[in-house]
Amino acid sequence: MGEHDTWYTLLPFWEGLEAQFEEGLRRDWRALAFQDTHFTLLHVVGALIAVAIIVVATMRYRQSLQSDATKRGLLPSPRFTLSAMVDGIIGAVYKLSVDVMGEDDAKKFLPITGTLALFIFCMNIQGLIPGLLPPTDTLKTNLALSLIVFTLYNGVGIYRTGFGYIHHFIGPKIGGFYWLAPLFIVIELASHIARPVSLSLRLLGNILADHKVVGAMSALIAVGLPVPFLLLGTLVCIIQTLIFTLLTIIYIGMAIEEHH
Amino acid sequence: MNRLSTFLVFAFAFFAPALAMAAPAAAPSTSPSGAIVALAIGIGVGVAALGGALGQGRAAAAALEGICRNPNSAEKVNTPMLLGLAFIESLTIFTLVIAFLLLGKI
Repeated sequence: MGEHDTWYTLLPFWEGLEAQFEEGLRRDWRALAFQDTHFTLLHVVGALIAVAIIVVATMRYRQSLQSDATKRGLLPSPRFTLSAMVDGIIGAVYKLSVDVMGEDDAKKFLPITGTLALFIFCMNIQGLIPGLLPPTDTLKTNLALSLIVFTLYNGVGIYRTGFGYIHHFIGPKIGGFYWLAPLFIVIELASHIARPVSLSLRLLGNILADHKVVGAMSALIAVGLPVPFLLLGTLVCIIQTLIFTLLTIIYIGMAIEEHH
Repeated sequence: MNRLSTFLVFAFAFFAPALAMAAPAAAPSTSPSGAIVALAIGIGVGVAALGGALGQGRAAAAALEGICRNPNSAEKVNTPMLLGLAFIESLTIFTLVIAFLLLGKI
């Protein structure tokens, strides 16, 4: 949805590259909930750009943690560099998850939650650069991310609580309402299945709408008018990253909490 | 050098949209049901925005009231408020996604 030309489609070898990949990777799905799919590499390249940014930024962060300027990570970076940005984002994610699941588990799950936050933010923010496409404005990216979250929190819940994980599905334990269990199982299963769907659709809708608004405004008057909407877009990118990460943290936190 | 690069980035942000808007125009519709679909998109998104705005307004008003009564609670109120706003907004956004899907049928 909403694809347009980008800087990398202007590359002379782009069409050949896409055709080459299409030959090997194309699938024709019969059950299409949405419009007809078509093969495109645009979002893959966008995600690769995000990966490149993250790899460079985290290597700089690692360097700054080992350098003497910050006394080996004791002091924050004196200037607002790439490493300081990574530090800020990861610190914010850590603070959020300490509130929800406690210090030990927050440290344990920081690799996945922090990476999700960095990755989604780097992909969202590409929508604000003229001539780039945010890879999160398609279900191909978002559904993959939210299915990872879905598998992770269910797996972790079963690993931590074992058979007790079923208590999440059979309703309130207090008061002996066990005869309500058949009703609760249906409702809880539906709500668990709705989680990845709503996670992915929320991110898709917000980023797509934001991209369209900036596009429409720059189609009206290209100079000056889009600037306030770019500002709004920055806010939307940050908040959607926060929401996705926070919901991931909350889902994991709810799955691993003990039922007494 | 630094000032020059700042100026270049600024100029890029200002003028590049004009270069980048190279999207091809959509073909005009010929089917008779297109008008009804267009009407449905407009009304649907409008009603969804109305409901979402009412809900978000209530949530934000309650949160601000709480912060006014107890300014120290601002940090603790913020995160649940954002979560609530996101859940309310996601319903509006679902309508928007459906509108984008219908857009292909005009």
